[in-house]
Amino acid sequence: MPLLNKPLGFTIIDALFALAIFSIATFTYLYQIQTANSSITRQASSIYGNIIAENIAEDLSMKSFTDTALLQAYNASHRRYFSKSLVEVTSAGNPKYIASWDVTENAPIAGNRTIVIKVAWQDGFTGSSFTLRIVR
Amino acid sequence: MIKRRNGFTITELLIAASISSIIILLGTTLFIDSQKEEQRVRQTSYVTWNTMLISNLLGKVLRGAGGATIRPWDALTVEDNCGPLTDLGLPDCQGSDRITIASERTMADGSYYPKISVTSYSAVTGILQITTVDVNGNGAVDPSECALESGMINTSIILVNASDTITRTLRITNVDIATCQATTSDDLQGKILNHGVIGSETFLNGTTSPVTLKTIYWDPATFRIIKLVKIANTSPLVSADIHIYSDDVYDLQFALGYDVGFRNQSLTINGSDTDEVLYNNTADTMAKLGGLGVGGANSDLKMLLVGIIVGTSQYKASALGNSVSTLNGTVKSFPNLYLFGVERRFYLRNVLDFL
Repeated sequence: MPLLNKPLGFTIIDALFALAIFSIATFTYLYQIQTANSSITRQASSIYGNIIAENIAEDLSMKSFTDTALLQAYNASHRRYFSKSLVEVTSAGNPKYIASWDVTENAPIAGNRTIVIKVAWQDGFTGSSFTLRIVR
Repeated sequence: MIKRRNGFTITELLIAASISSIIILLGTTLFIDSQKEEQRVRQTSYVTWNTMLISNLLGKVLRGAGGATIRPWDALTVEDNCGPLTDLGLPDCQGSDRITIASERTMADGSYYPKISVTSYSAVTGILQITTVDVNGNGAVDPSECALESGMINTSIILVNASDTITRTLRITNVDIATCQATTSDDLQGKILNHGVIGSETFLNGTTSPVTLKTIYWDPATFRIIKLVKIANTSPLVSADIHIYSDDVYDLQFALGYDVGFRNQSLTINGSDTDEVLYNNTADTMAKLGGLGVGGANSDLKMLLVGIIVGTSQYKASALGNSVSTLNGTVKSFPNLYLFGVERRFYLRNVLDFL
C-alpha cells in the first residue's frame, strides 16, 4: 500500500536544511551583537583620539613662535604615546594611541603656521586614525 | 488490514506545539535582545558625544578667564575637593571641584573697557578712587575725564595692585562722577578670587576692570553641572542665578597647569605630584610643582585641565557598572550606569598678552 510505504519522520536533508536556517539566524544575531560592541568601542576610541589631538593642539599653542621644537620639520621627537586612560606613557607600556604632528611655516599665508596632528590607534585588528589641522 | 486514520495524534500535536513554542520563544528573545542592544549602542553613543560636547562648551567659557587687561591667574580660582559655600548657598562638592572665573566685560559695541588706573582703595571704607587726568585744564573732574559711569552700580570689578601681588573682587554700590569715586563692598561670588594681604597697600597705580563672574560646579544632588552668575550681591541662592549646563554628570574635576622650573613653554603632565599640574594628584601642592624644589608661582599659570565623567543607564547593565576616574577625583562606579570620562586641556588664551 502506498500509505504504508511512505517513510515516517524527517530525512537527513530536512534536518540539515532546518539546521542551516537556524545557523544563519543565530549567526546574524551574534554578528549584530558583535557589530554593536565594535561600534561602541570604535566610537569611544574615536572620541579619545579626537580629544588627544585637541589636547596636543592646546599644548602646542603654548609654544612661542620662536620655539625650536616647533620650527623643526617633523622628527621622532614630535611624537607622543598615550595609554588608554589618556595619561601619557613616558617609557615602557603598550600605548593604544600614538600621536605625531608636523609644522609648516608660513602656511597658508606668510606669518602663520599650519600644524597637522595625527592620532593613530588600534581597535582589535583594525587601525584607525584622526587628523586635526590647525592654523596658528 | 488496518486502515491508517488521517490527521495527527495528540503526541504529534504536543511535540509540534513544543517545537513551535521553543522557536517562537527563541525568535522573540533574539528580537528583544537586539532591540536592547540597539538601545545600548544609542545610549553609549549619546554619552560619548555628550561628554565631548560638554567639555567643549566648558572650555569655551573657561578659557576666557581674564581678558584684555586682567591676568588669567588673577581671574581664576579652583577649589579642589571643595566644601559647601554658605555665602552663596552652594553644596558640598563631594570630591568634585568648583571653579570661579572672572571674564572682562565688554561694552555694548563688543570692545573692552579701557584699562582703569586707580589712585587709592580703602578696604575699611570701600572707597575706590579712580585716577583722572584734567584734560581740559579746568581744575575739575568732568564726566568725560572719569572712567566711571553711573550704570556701573552693581557691577563686579577686579582690583589689582601695581605689583600684581594683591587682588580684590568688589561690587560697586555707588558711583560719584564728580569725585570719580566708587563705593564698593566685597563681592560674595568673587571674593574667592581674592589673594594677598592688603596691609599698608594703598593700591596707588593699581588697575581695576569690570568683570562678569561665573562659578561652575557639580551638584551631587541632581548630577548636573551648574553655572552660577549672581545677579545681585546677596547671599540667598535664587533660581535666576542658576544656569544648568548639563544633566547626567557624575564628576567634574579641574586642574591647573603651571610652566615652572625652566619655563620652557611646555608642561610636564604625568599624574605625579611633581609634574607641572596642580590637582591632578591628591598630594599636589604649589611647592611641589615641577619637582625642582622651587615650586610654582601664580604667574606660571598657563593651562586649565578639565576632567568630566558623564553617565547613562543601560538596559544591558551590569550590577556594578564600569569604573572611571579623572584627574585627582575618586574612582566612580554606579550600578547599572555606563560612565565615560575625558580629560581636556585648555590653554588660557590671553596668557601671551602678559609675557
